Amino acid sequence: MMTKDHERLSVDLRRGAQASHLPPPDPGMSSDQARMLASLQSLRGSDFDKAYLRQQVLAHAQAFAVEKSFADAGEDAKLRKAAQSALPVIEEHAKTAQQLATELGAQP
Amino acid sequence: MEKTTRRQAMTVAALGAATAVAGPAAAQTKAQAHGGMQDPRSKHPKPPFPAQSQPWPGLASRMNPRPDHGETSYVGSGRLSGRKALITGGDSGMGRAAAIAFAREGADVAINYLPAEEPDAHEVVALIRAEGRKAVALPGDLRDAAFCRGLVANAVRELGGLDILVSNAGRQQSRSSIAEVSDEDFDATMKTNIYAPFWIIKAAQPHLQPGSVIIATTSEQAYDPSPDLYDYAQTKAATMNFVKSLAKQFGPKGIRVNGVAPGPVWTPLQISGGASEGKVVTFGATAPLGRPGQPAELAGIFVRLAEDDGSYTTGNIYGAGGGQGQP
Repeated sequence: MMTKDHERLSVDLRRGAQASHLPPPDPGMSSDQARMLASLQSLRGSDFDKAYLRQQVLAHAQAFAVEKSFADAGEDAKLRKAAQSALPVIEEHAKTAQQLATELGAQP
Repeated sequence: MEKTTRRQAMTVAALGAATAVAGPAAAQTKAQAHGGMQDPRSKHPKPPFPAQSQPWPGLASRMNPRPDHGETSYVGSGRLSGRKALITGGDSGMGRAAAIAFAREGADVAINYLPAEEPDAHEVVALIRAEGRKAVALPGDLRDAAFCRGLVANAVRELGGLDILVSNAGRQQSRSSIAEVSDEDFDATMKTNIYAPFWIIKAAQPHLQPGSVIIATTSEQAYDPSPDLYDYAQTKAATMNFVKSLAKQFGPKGIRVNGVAPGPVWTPLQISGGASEGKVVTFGATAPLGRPGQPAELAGIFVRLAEDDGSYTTGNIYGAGGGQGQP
């Protein structure tokens, strides 16, 4: 679900950018994301699962906040539209992540 | 015997009121000193935080959650009796935590802040006076040399001297690329973070008697900069560096110079443009402790560096990074 949905969101964003003659987003992670990924790499088993879910809860909260802010007040109409359609998807992912996190006891 | 008591008092644990809203000084109960131990992971708020932003410079009193500067937890024991301190950026963040701690340790404190930060500064002044200490409010923009010189002169006059200088005020604005850093941006960051400390330290030095201390706020950014803090991070590297050069210069004068390098700390700097909107939501998540620091968690470091007991520490940088970064 995650891979399919995120691929679709990336495609939407790229299309929106092209339509408005804006440069496509840079691929790659932020330094925070790189740090979080690095911290996962030393974990195994349920420690990994819990850390992964905690990170997903946070990442989706962040993504939602950024998309919402752009959807509300972004300068470009086509990109605002892309952001608006992304919101419910992100919200759904956030809910799933939160649910799984609670089930696994990943939220102290 | 006295030393043991002081050390015990040093290990103050917040009374589970770490996230309490700080009301006016008069309405607070006195914190009680006790030892003990708390889980550092849950002692203070964890991300995700509500998305929020305020125009620069931002107020601590309007942040959600409100930062903890030690209002209800810091307990002093005379470690800075009779001392006279000037703190820039003393209205909020680590400067505020230092101001509260210094006052509770027996010092008189002057704070500088931007006029827009008056509501926060007002609370700090009340907290200092609640300890029976002298509080001096010296608002104004540090980006002006004449103001900086006047600031020191006023502090010395009002305090009747000066022996602790905390150069802590800073400007931090996240810009995802150098292309987005305007000339005005760059200038404002350099003036606040590099020029002002130069003007202030230069003006203060003739007044500092042997035993005096200078403490400058640097950052983990000095050692491992974030890509979106190109201008801010280099000023923190510069600060770390001048701590060491001035320690060499002032050692023979008996004046100690040290730095404090925090990791992510929950202050108005972050929600007024210092961190990107998205980063505010997950602020501190990268730290092994799983959360950002609160200003209260750095107060003890400023006291440590200011007190006479730390007399061999000079040219050093103390970190508080939640497990990430240097030093």
